[in-house]
Formats: sequence, structure tokens, C-alpha cells
Amino acid sequence: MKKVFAVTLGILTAIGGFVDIGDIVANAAVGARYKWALAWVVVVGVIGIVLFAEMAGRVAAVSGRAVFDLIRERLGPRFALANLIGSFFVNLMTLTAEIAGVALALELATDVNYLLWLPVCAFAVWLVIWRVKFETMEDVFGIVGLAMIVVAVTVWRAGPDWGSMFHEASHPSLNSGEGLPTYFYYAIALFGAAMTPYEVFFFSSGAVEEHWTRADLFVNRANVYIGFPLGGLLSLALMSAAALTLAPLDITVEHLGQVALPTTLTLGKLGLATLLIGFFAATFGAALETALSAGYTIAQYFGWQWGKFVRPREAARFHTVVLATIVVAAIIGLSSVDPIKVTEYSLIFSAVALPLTYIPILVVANDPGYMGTKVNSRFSNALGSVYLVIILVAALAAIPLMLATKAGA
Amino acid sequence: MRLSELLGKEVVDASGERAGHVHDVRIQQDGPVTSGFDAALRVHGLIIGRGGLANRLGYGRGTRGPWVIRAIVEGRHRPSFVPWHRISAIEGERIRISGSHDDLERVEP
Amino acid sequence: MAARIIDAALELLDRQLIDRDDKLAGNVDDVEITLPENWPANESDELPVVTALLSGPGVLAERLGGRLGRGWAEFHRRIHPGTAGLGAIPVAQVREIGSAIRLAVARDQLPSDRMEDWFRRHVIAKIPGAGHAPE
Repeated sequence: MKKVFAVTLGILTAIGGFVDIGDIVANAAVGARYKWALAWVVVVGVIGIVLFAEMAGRVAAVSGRAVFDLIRERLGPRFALANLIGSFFVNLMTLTAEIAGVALALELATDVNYLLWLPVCAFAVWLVIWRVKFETMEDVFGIVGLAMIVVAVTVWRAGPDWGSMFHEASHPSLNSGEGLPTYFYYAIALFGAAMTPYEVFFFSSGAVEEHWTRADLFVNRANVYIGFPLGGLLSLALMSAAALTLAPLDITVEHLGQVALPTTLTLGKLGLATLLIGFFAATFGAALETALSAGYTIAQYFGWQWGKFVRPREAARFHTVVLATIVVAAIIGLSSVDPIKVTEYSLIFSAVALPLTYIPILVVANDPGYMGTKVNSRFSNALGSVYLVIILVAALAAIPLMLATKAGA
Repeated sequence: MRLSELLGKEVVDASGERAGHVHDVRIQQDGPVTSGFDAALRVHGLIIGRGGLANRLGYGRGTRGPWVIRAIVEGRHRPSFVPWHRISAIEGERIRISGSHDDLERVEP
Repeated sequence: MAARIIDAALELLDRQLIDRDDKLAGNVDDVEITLPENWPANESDELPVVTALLSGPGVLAERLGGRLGRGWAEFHRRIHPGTAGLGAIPVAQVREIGSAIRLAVARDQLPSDRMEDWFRRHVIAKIPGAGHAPE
């Protein structure tokens, strides 16, 4: 019975924790502009994250080591350092966007300017990391994040023509005046949102934090195979809500309030309140994960003690890095850069960094020295190879497309 | 000296021909027993080869893996083993070995 | 029984160091090898011996090389004169070489703990709750 509870909790947490500010902004923006013409990217992205998260979780459960931990051992300090610098930069951008996202959610709820909320949010993120137990942190924000399901309810209540919805999704076409380069630019941003690098590094380190062993492989698979796809449905719900409500009105997503508009129109104040709770939990949870990831990757590269599973004084450098990263992210956020723009850029740079993240996972998950008999199956390797090509294409095309389309203008 | 001073160095044989680069240093646990640890770790020689990526990615230890990665990474030449006694000099830029690189024993990649 | 063969770059270098109490104690950034006396003039069959594992940012910087690496290594040597900067762990303190390197000593005995200790005393200890058990 306890096992069933653990599995259910894991799945619910995975669903509620799947969506972050990048997914919220990207799916709504794409839905408003392209309706369902890019829905296929979400499907491709979810399959990708499911594939690699399963590998990352399996690596941690079987070897007792987080994936990034093994990158330096397997691929050498030079490659790992390049990886670290790239990942840290993307992580920092993502953290800035997430903390700003929390502040924006609070601004929508209270009408107090988000810049005033920002330092409070940054401090709160740090405090939760400092004091709250890892599992509690994950469970609380994961479960509360389920409030985002209200977006699915919004779509349901809007009473769409499901048939034409599926038709549009499976036969993507562009409106007149829309160019292919911009279409693919948004495809890459959406893909980056689904497969953001910090997700797998965090998932893997988190598995070590929670002391997973081989016995937890089943839980790992349940979380990943059931939880993540359902989380992906939430992304599609965000896209659909925007497609049904914002697109006909020619509204483009430039503020978080516009993302909330469909729910406000369809479900009123109660719907909006629920959605804001969901936004808050999703972005706060993601901020926690991104800040911890900054600490994990740096500490694991140098071999320092890391983790919340020891007293803070026993992982002094790790906690200093986490604190410093949050402070820097807050400072960047306070410079009043447009948080929506920061979010979009973080997605594009995530896409560029994807090969650095995923090639090592593929190598490590195949190493019998760490994995014993639990190396990748031929199916995982075949699918992984296909995704490697997709990831490389996305990474190479990201910056050129960004420049060519002036960041999707 | 440090291990990093050996790794990656170019190796030339007695006639000046290039034999490859140092991929690894082979150690055996067969020296006299010192305090604490078991038998001392003695350096028996160098593993040299052309290109360096395959070894770094651990394909020397029976790693299977995705075809795409192996295709990129596996070199066409098998590495060789240079016994320590055949090293005649370790210079700043290269390592000189005695004899010809043709009579070096090949090892499993 | 054949003596165990270890390929140093593959199995020693960049491995995680774990101390006597299962705490993480850095990575193996380099390995110190002692050449036989008067090598190569020495005509005996003596082989070089691994005498220490090296761990520390100065060591890693030197290994990464390049101008930046060497500059950092030089800076590190100046703030840690003597051998303390080398973070040398004598081979005698190594208990097991496996997927990680297990040591027979506690990590606060290691020279590389100095940086951790600095941060512990000057940053972390100043924040309330630093000794709080992880529950």
C-alpha cells in the first residue's frame, strides 16, 4: 500500500512539476500565434525528455551517482568544463526567468509591481532550499502545481471542435504572411522548453538526494512514463487555451496576464485564482530546481560535497554557490530586463546547450562499469540516436534562426 | 613528475617517425608492499594511439553503445603498448622511444 | 594470480575521492609519479612508482593548461606557498580503487579541505541553521 502511495505521489509530483515559466510562456505564445501548428513539437519534446530522464534516473539509481558527476570521469575535465560553463550560463538565465516568473504571478494576484516582489521571491527560494527537506520541497510544490490542471478545464469548457483541433495539429499549416524560418524558430524554443537541460541534471541529482537504489527503478519508470506525458498534456492545454481564446482576437503573448486571460474569460475569478496558484507553484518549484542545479553541477565537477542530504556546514561550497547564483539571478532580474524576453532567450540557449547535456547521458547510460546489467536497451539506444540528430539540428539552427528572424518578430 | 605531463604527448621512435600520442599510462599493482596499501603501483608503460577520443569515452572497457556515437569516436588504428624500458627520453614536447614503432605490441582498444 | 592492471587515465584520473566516513573529498585532478633515481641514465629494471594522488584547483588548472590554466596555477601557488597547494594524498592513504577512490583518512585531514573549511567558517557558519540536520 505504501508502495502504491509512493508511486502515485511520484506521478502527481511529476505532472505538477513538469511545467515551468518557459513552458508557460512558450506554449501560450505559440498557441496564440500558430494555434496547433506546432503541437507536434510538444509531442516530440515530451518523448525526448521521457527517454533521457529515464536514463538519468536509472544512472542515479544503479550507480548511486548523478549524471553530471560522471561526465568529468567519462569525458575528461576539458569537455566537462565546457559543459559546465555552458550549462551554468543557461541555468542562470533560466533561474532569472523563473524567479521573475514567481514575482509576475504574485503581481497578477496582488497588483503590486513584480520588481518589488522579486527580492522577496529570491529570498524565499533560498530559504526553502536552506531549511526545507528535499522530499517535502518536491512533494509540496509538485502537488500544488497540479492547480495548473485548471487550464485543461478551461479548454474543456471552451467547448472546442475537437475534430478540427486534431486535424490542425496533425496537418500543420501556416497562415499567409507567416514565414517558415519564424515557424522553426518557435519550434526550437518550444523544444528547448520541453527538454531544458537543468531538468535531467536535477532529476538525476534528486534521485541521489532521495537515496534511490535499484529497487526504485520501477518508481522511476512510473514517474517518467506516466507523469511526464501527463505534464506534457498540460503544455498542450496551455497551447490550446491560447489558440482558442487569444488567436481569434489576434492577441500576442507579451505579459503573463495574457496567458491567464483564457482562464479568466472561461472560468472567472475562481479559475484565475486557481491558475495563479498553479503559476506560483510551477515557477517557484522550477526556481528551486534550477538554483540547486547550479550548485549540483559546479560541486560535482570539482568533486565537492554536495546535496541537501547533509548538513549545510558539511557542504559549504555547494551552499555558497547556490546562494550566490540566486543573488546574481535576482540582481539581473531587478535590472528590469523584460522577464518574458529573458524567458524566450533562455529557451533558445537551452536548445543550443542540449547536445552538451544529452550526449554524455547517452554515453554514461551505456557504460557497464557504472550500470552493470542495466545498460541501455537497444530500443533506448536507437531512439536515443534519433534524438541525438534532432538535438544537434536544433542546437545548430537555434542561433542563426534567432538572428534571421529577429527573435521571432 | 605528474601523469598529466605524460598524457597527450607525442611519441616518436628512434628514426624520428611518429608513433602516436600517449592515451594512457598502464600501472600494475605488483611492487613491494609499502605501509598501508597493498602492493605498490608500478608504472609498466604507456598506451599510445592515434586520436584520443575513443579512449576518453571509455570504449576501451567493453562499452557498447549507440551506433552513432561509436561511429564518430572509434579510430581506425588500434592502440599500442610501450613498455617503460623502451622510453629513451621524456622531453617537453615529445617522448622518444627506442627501436621502431612497428614492433610495438598492439592492444585491445 | 595476476597483478591488477590499472590504466591510470581511465581509472584513476578524474575519479571521485571518498573519505573514511563516506564523505566526498574532491576529485583526482592529477597523479604524482616518482621516477627511478637518475632515470634514464639508470640501467636497472626499476620502474616508476605512483606515489600520490593530487587534488585541488591549482592542480586542475595546471592540468587543463593553456594560458588561463597556467596563470591560475601560478596564482594558486602564491597564495599557498610550499606543498600545501598540491593537495597530495600519499598512496598509503588509498584504501580502494573502484568506481570511486576510497581513502583511509577523514577528509579534514586532507590539504584540499582548506577551501571548504574557509567557506564553512566565513560564509555558511554565519547563517543561522547551518548545523541543522537534514531531517
